[in-house]
Amino acid sequence: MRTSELFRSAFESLMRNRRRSLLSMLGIVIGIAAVVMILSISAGFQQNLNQTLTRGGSGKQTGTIYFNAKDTSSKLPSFTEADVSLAKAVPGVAKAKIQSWAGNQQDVKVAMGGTSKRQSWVLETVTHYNKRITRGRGLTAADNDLRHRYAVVSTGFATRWAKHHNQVVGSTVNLAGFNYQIVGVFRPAGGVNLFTNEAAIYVPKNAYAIGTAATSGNALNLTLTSSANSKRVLNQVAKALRKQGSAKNRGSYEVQDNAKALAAVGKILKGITTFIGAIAGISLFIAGIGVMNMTYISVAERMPEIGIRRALGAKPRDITNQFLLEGTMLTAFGGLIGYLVGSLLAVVVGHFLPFPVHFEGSAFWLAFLVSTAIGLLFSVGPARSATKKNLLELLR
Amino acid sequence: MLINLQHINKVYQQGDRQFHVLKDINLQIAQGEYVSIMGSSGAGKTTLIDVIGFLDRDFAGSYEFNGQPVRQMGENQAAALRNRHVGFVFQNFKLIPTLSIGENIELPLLYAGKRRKACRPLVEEALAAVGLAGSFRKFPNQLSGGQQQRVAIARAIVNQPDFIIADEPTGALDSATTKEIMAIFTRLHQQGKTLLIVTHDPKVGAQAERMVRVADGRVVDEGREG
Ligand SMILES: Nc1ncnc2c1ncn2[C@@H]1O[C@H](COP(=O)(O)OP(=O)(O)OP(=O)(O)O)[C@@H](O)[C@H]1O
Ligand SMILES: [Mg+2]
Repeated sequence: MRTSELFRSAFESLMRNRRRSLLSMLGIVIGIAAVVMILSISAGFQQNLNQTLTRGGSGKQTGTIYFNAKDTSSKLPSFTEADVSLAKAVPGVAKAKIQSWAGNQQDVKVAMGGTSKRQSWVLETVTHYNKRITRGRGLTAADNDLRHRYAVVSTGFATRWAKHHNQVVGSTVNLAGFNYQIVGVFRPAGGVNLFTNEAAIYVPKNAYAIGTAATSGNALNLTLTSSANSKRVLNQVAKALRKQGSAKNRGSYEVQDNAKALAAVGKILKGITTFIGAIAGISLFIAGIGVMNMTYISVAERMPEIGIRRALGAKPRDITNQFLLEGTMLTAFGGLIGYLVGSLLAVVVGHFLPFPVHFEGSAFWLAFLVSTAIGLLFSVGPARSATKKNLLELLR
Repeated sequence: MLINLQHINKVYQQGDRQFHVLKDINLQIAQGEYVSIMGSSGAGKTTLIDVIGFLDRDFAGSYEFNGQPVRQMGENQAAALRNRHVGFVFQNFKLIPTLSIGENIELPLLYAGKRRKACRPLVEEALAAVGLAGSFRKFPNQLSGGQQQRVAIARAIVNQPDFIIADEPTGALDSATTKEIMAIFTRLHQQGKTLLIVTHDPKVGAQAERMVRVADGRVVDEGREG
């Protein structure tokens, strides 16, 4: 029989048994929908992660070397052009750049009072700040112009601070060696981006610049060549700096390997994906058994029909192909529906996630191929059994 | 010689009992002959035409079709022969109930590799030949027994086979319908088809040019008219 006619016959046969076809398709639809949903969510997560950790999603290996000064009030620069040249001389480093903090974020260590250890908080310098203030007031442009040492802190900071202080607004906090008066508390927006911290402390830019101008640039951003072993290269740069760095006597160098952070989060993600993938796999397997069962029943029911078809000239291959195609069309169609349902679910779920879901063309082909393969795999047995019986017995 | 059977023996094995159903059958049928096969129930008529129609290749002896040995054929080759050279009319119609009349008749054409579009006019022609023009879309259960038998004949002739084998084509029909069916066979014979008809009805058997009598697995009488 012509292939086109075979497809048509199989389709018509499935349509004649609409309810049974739909029921045996359900397992595939659910399994594929789950896989597609997980894939697009995890692809969105991965993309978001790459963008945050490699700044701009270039996918290049990056790393940062921080300088921790012993004397935080020191006005001497941590990194100079000489250090940049030093870093660039290390094999595997493609680019080196002193990170400037102007209008940017940085970590500050803050003594929270009592006997507790100094805690690290993200500080951001601003020209003005007036968002979601819950207590006190925000920072005005005038505060910046007049270089007022004022600070606005997050509710999280305020809660910790209140443990050792009678009041938050009005008290004084030491930031990078200078005292700032807390004038207000704000409520954080909540993460829009998982890996960029929202600052917990805002201070006027100009005021912060006076006191800490010298330490501006206390980090060295490195971009590595694609083939470099990031851990080794970064350690070599740190070693060179410890030996010959311009500030080697005033503090210590600390390495942050972004690739490592990326790999760690990637590993967790992979674990979750594998787990859910396994569940989806089991459900697809069960769905496959369902298709196999349906095809066996269909073969048994249609034994007389098989006999007639063979008497009229159907070759065993024609009969096998017919049932194989029926099973495979069923799962392939189920896979396509599953893809649509899964994508739809991913979009819906994406509304409740802090990052956008991402659809890849490969997910479509994966869904299509996997469902087709399941159909082939599970209907080949019953399809073959359709031709095993003696022709004369079928016609009796 | 179209069909040449030499020393055909067929044994059914059931447990440790053996049924010798065909015993040393020798039979030749030429192109264009109209042959009837008669005999009592259980004589082995159906078994014989299953062999002749390439449905059963599990026998001893030699069967040549157009000089081609049949017993040694593979299933694919036998299927191709059934499709191209034989038109079967079974004892109990054997229509597929889930397919329409038209779809039933077009099956041999589809298995011959034709497109559905190309089948349509041939199916209509076959339906007209058995007096059922316009029943393409009906289903088997919407037809009377005689009409279903005619559909079965239409299916047997649609692929222009060399010869037509009919097993009790009038067994379940009244005498008026029997006459109509026999008229169709006579017309097919006049068109040059080879016909092989199994029947209990002496009137039907007498209509053939040649009558073969089978009793207890043997050909006992090979009468020729004229
Ligand atoms: N599968 C089988 N196993 C054992 N014996 C069988 C089998 N099929 C048929 N027979 C026997 O073979 C003999 C011939 O059967 P066959 O069907 O050819 O008879 P028939 O002449 O067509 O009879 P009828 O006119 O009733 O159709 C019978 O005795 C029957 O019992
Ligand atoms: Mg019989």
